[in-house]
Amino acid sequence: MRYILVKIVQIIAFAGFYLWELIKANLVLAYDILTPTHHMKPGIVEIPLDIKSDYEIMTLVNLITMTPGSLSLDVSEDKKRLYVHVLYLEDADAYREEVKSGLERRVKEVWS
Amino acid sequence: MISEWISAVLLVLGAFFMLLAAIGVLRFPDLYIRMHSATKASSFGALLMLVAVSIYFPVAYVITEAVLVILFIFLTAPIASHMIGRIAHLLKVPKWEKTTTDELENRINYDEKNDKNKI
Amino acid sequence: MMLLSTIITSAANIAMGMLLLAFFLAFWRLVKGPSLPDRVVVLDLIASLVIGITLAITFLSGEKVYLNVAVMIALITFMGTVAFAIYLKKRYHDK
Repeated sequence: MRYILVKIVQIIAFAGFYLWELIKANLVLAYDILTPTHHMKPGIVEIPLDIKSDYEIMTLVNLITMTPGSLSLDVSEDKKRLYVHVLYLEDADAYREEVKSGLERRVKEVWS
Repeated sequence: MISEWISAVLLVLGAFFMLLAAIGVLRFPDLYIRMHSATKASSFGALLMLVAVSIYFPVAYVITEAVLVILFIFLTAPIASHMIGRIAHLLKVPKWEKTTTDELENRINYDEKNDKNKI
Repeated sequence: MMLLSTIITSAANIAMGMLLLAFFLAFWRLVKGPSLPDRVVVLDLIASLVIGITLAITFLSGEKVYLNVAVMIALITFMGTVAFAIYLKKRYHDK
């Protein structure tokens, strides 16, 4: 019973987070479309995955595509690495760390 | 009355985001950046317009259908862009000249034979 | 058929105009697009624009039935994109 309640709260928090990220992503994108000069620094980053199952990877891909300035491109054959196209790439290692501690932790938490 | 105003504002905002998606697709310099615009902005625009419909027609089956379409769009749009992006990279679609790093280009143990069977 | 207010009708008309403009811009990229994946992305976007236009028509006519059209387009367009992706992949591996 307690587990179910915790799960429901986690799912609602996850949905709120998803919606907030979606709105932020669209505002950032709108700013970028409407300003006349492009000041993006795109790059493709490899992210090693801790999560294993297909539905967790699906959730992470969905979340990465809907967060500001990132778009998932490919999953390696052994499902251990994810390739992400990032619009504002300052430092690849810092971005990797950000995804692993932010989005992947949330996905793991929601599916645990 | 108030719900009418809310749904009118949401409708115009949704159409505006779809227009932004089209402008972005026209203006951005390469395929991957265009995909950012086409996936995010157009699904967000569809979300806003469907919410507007379900606020203006508060009937059970309209709300059910709107929620179903929203769920379906948000489940499939990232997958579609994922597949197209993956194949575009295989086909070596040119990248913008300011692209800094590409770790997909020289990935280790890429198996083309195995890849053939994967959709 | 219910009587529609002027607010919602004018909002739907504005939305319709924006979507038509978006249509022309997307068609421009469809004609220009240098590679085939570019065109597939634009076709995906055009399907979303058609969903938007269907929803605007729902407001203009007041008939809720038009929502079913949006459902069908949303279902079919994903299949179209996946089919294009499989076709492009097959072409790549046959080459």
